[in-house]
Amino acid sequence: MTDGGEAPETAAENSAELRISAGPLSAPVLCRVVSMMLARADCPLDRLDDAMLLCDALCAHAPAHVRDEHLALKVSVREGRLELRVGEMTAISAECLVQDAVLPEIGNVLEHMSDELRVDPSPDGESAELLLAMNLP
Amino acid sequence: MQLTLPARPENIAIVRHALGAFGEAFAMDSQILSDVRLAVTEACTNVVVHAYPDGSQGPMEVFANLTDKELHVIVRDEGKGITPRPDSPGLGLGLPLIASLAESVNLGRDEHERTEVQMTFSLSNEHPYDLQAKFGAANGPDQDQLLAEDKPRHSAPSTEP
Repeated sequence: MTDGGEAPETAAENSAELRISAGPLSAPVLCRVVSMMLARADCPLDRLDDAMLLCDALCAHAPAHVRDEHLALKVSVREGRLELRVGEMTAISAECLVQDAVLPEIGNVLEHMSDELRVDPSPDGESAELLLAMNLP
Repeated sequence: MQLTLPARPENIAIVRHALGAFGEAFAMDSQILSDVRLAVTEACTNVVVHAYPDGSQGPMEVFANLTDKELHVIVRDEGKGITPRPDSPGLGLGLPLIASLAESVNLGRDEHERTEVQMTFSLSNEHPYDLQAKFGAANGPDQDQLLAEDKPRHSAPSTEP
């Protein structure tokens, strides 16, 4: 939800904005918020677990790349899809965050766990959003 | 931590869980964290029930900031403000409950004319019903200590000759 604007119509569709200090606090809080939203959307347990892994990986790598030591996230669950939008970044830092998530012999965790991953630069090019999306069965 | 959600009943639980994670990450005392969660639940319930009448929708924002000795929590909305409501569906116990759980409470509006409830919670363990502080044990009083407290003050008759 942004500025009290459009509101989801059903209980299964929801959105949240979270701004939190990037560090040990971010993963537990984000995981709780996302898990509650997915549970409300009747998400299967295995997929919910995948979403937790995605949140953990994001929070583990984000602190080195965010501005002001804060992680700004928009979380939405609608139309069978979980979206995490990481804001307040530059396009370069968003790309670096993704590249940092590469593990030896496994590959890029963020790419593996998400069904869609892209960096959306703002029209003026000064900032960017990192989009991570998962399809829910 | 700042969390903004649509002011809907199901989102009160999300706030409560997020605050739980916040408190656990900082190893807050469980009794204090319970008080915080209950008070913030009441404040968020007020937003859901009273802020946006006639089925209108709006945001519910929770801001939490921890210092060495205190936790500051602000619950904000963009509703009509805190006014007496004769037709209130509730018992009217929300704000008194918040006031009794928090160290201090302020009701008002912020610079953007949003309604806000500011709550401050002390992080010290001194609490009227805090047995842990009373008995000074790391994990609360053990059974012997509790029984010793309940024993009568007179001494038992000696069995020795």
